[in-house]
Amino acid sequence: MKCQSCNKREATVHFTDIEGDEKKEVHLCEECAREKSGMPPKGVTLEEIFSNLIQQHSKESAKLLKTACPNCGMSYIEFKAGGRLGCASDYVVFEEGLAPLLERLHQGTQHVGKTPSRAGADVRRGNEMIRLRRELDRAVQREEYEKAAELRDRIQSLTGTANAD
Amino acid sequence: MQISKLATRAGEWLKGEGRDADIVVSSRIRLARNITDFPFMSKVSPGQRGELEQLLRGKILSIDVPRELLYLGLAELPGVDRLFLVERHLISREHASGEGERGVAFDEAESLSIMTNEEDHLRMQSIRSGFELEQTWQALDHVDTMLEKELNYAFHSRFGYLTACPTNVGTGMRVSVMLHLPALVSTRHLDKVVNAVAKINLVVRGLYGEGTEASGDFYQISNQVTLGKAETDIIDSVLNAIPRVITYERKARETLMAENRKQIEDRVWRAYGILKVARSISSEETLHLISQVRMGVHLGILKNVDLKTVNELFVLTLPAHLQKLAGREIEPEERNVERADFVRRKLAGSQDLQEEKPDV
Repeated sequence: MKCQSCNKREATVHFTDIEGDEKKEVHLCEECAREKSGMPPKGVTLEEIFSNLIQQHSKESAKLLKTACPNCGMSYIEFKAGGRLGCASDYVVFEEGLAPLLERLHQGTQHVGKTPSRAGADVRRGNEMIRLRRELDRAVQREEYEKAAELRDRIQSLTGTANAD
Repeated sequence: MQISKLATRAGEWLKGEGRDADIVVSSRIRLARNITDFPFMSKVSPGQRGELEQLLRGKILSIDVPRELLYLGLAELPGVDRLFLVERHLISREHASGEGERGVAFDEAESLSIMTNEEDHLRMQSIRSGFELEQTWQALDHVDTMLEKELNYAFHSRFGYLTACPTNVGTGMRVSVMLHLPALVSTRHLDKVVNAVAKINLVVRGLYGEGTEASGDFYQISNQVTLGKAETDIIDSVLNAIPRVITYERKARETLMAENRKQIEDRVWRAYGILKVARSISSEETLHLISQVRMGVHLGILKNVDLKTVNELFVLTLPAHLQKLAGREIEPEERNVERADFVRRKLAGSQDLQEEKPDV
């Protein structure tokens, strides 16, 4: 049997494709199958395999695909393209998509190692700081100096509480 | 401490001491940490970058470590100096070629280094000569605990230490053991090692870590899983696997010696001979020959060559090191001449002078 895609090479990969309610038998040669499935060609780097994993294993809901982090502004799509998260709260905001990915990459999704002594106490303040800093950058860009001064004061007062810990 | 002063000697992890130092060059552990008050590096604005570096730098220099730390800002450092730090394994290649405010702190022995504004806010590593993972972890754990008192680490009860890349989340820990495996390479058994360690979630990497090629028969074996296992379990998985690789390499060496003794002796002596007489030599060839000589020393074929000298050549003959030693920029071809001179001088100093006479 010839490959349905290139019609030249012998089909060696056979599978059933389901699209909506439609079932379809597909017969492809290895080369076309690799191309179509987005599988990496031989001899790829860890990063390439990894970015591929992200695409394969997060069959996210439409909602997640539109999600962006309110603190750092990173969107889920942006994370999928770059493979790097934007801030600590992304782990919570994108949890639905991240949990299956972490399951694949690691041994479970529950941390069992070392815990910092002050864990958790400052998370909310940290999120606030990241958000305020972003607003500050924006205010400076728009030359809204009064607003910027106000934001800077709030950041400084939050920094003060951190040092008092 | 000035950078150029470092060029004449190597870090302590190259002294060739510690357990199984004939095969294990070094034991290294790194931790990735971020702090809560700033976004991760991909979302840090240029202004915040400087602020973040200043904060981290201040805290790093305030902790009480056995040996004083030197901090270098990389933004103002020339390219050759950054490459120099990569060659010494004090910073990553990505950190050298990155942009903006970022830096590294390290101690004089070069057994501790802490990068700021790398892929994560903090990347700290501890490195020791030989197969000494427990000691290496103790030292690093201590530094991490001290920094934790000064900084609010980004941490989540389920996901652990939060990192920019999900591959590092949890413990943020990478354990890497650098191995010299000339016999497994020449008997073509290395693939078996790669496959066997993959089954227990370990991975074989090149000389400078992820995505780099192995050269001169030097390989790093490290963990991949960082979440769902405690630090000590991760270390144990590497601790259990490495002795098997060591035994495998030793057996391969024994077999080589039993079956091809004359050939091996010839290969080792030729490698040594070339290093002692060459007038121009590339870093690739140097590494390849050093590998042979290193094996020759451990097989008792070369008796008067000091392991520390051989290990040090491994770093001191790299391009940025030669240029720092010469105190100027040198083109690759001239570098090969400088390198050959340097190797001859080093080897002449390390063994008895009688053998050296014909060379003068």
